Amino acid sequence: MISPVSGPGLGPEFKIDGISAGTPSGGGSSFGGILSDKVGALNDLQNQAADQSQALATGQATDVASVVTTVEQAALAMQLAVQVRNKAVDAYQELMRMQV
Amino acid sequence: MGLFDALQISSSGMSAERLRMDVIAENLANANTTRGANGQPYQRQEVLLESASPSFGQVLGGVQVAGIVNDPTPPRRVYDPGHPDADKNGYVTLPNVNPVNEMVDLITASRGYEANVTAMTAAKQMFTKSLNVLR
Repeated sequence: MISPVSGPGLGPEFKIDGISAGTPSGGGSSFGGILSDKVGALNDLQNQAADQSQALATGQATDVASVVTTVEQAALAMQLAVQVRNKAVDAYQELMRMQV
Repeated sequence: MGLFDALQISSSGMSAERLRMDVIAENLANANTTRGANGQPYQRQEVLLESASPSFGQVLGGVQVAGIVNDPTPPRRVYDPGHPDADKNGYVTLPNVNPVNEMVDLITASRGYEANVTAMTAAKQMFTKSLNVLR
């Protein structure tokens, strides 16, 4: 005898914790919140770099080393953010191409 | 250990070497100054460096300037009776600055700055290399 096949629906072993579709959760713990925090931090770095560059150009900056460091930090942070964004877009496109 | 600690530390080293160079330039410029502050001949100055205490959440803090101190070695005395600042025996008191020492210090400051720039470039390259893993 063949045991009857259970009905539609996944067993409890296929449930994934932490993903609740359709209920947007605000705050810093969600992916969107983390992303927004990080983009804000990146923007702060870019603003600092712009301010310091302007101070250097107008002759108000006394320490060239700190200006260079700030600008480099902003550039590296931007590169990191761009790479993370490329990864996210790649993952999205991979999902969109998926045969159902 | 943050992402940019190495950059910050190298930056503090570069600032410190820059200040050393400023003070050496001051010493060289005043190598023959007989009328410094408080009417005495100029006294050679030196930069005192100390390791900076790390800020919260960090292990390393880089370097910081503890102060600029006077060198207490005795001044040079040169016989020059025609000098307006000569004493009654005809001796002029000149600063305790030896230009040869200052030039050597200048080279070490310049090389120290270069070393910090190299460390910063290496840290940057390491960061970029790990970013290349992502692409």
